[in-house]
Amino acid sequence: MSQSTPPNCEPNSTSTLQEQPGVLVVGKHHFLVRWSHWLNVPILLGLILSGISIYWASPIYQHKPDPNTGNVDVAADIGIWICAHVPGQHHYSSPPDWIYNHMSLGPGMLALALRLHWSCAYLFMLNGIVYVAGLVMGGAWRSLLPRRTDLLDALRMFRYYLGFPLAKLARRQWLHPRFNTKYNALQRAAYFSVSVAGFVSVATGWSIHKPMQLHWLAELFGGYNAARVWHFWLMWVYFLFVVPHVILVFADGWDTLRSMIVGWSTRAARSEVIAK
Amino acid sequence: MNNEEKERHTFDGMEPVVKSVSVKKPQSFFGERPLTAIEMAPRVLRYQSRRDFLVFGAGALAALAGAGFVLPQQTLSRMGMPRNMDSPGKERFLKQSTAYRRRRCRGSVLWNSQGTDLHQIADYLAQEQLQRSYS
Repeated sequence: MSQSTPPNCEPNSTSTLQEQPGVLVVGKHHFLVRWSHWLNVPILLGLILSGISIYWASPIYQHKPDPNTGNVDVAADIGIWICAHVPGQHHYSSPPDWIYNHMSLGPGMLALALRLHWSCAYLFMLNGIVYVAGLVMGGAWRSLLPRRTDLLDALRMFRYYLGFPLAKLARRQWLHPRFNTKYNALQRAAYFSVSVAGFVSVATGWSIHKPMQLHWLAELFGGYNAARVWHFWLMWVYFLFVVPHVILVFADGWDTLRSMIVGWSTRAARSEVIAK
Repeated sequence: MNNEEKERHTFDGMEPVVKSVSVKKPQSFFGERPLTAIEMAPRVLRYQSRRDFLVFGAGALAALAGAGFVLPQQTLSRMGMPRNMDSPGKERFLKQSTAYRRRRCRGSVLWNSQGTDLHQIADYLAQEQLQRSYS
């Protein structure tokens, strides 16, 4: 039982089951939202691993051939740099492939990578539809919409996150800004923009896959090559989202993580504030 | 009407002068709805949580098994999976999925149009055993 359960709702061990008081909970996430959230983990991993393998076959970021190595790929340069400077990597057998060996299916797997990428892409699109259906059915889409006060509230939250570690070190109290909404402004901005990123990833993916048939779509992104650049950097948007997302979920506590599995939260006090 | 008269009217059992009005603000369509707190029996809550955690665990195991089935052995070895997971079934699955896609494309208009199908290029390159060389 979470510590945020109201004291009067704690089950009494001496009473019978019938006499036990109920536990006050709030329904936080629709089951379709939860399912699509967790399904995104293997799907996005598959997309990223296979996507970087596809990138290997035709890197976006290239330079003139290096006179010593003949290398043209910037990602291979990074691999070479890592093997030269990071302890324990000096004897790596193929430095130019370091990035591809650690962040993709591997080099020289274009055919398999394309098949996996499209399998995952279809699942990603299907999962996106499930997510939207869950948002609509549960009414949670309203919690994700940006508001006029978001900029100011986001700055307050940003200040809180910046100051929190220092306050912990100094053993000072650092109060969390109060919001009468399901998500704070930063969360809302992150969840809303990552959904948009998902949509744009699909659109850029189609424009790369069918550049002749869907040339109008590629033109929207500035042409075929620009669509590839968009698609590549959208992957980094997911990285930028996922890393702080996971850290903050663990920092926020068990109740937040559990609510994404079971759907309910024992933090009922906040809902009462909203209901006022 | 002064205050004294107001009080007299009320006490006489007549209609009060000031009527009560609802102060609840109308909710807009886009406005966030408050989360409703519900009281649940601990036994029901425990049962539902156990069920959801079991489904979550089963899903995680299924995802791992799926990754083992689909990913190439070379990738799995790099991830620390020493056991050979390659099987005729995996090969058949990947070939069938490509064959299915080809059958579908053949029947479509897109196949005959001027398009670059990356799968065609990839299959060709894979057949040619393309290997990038770093001299």
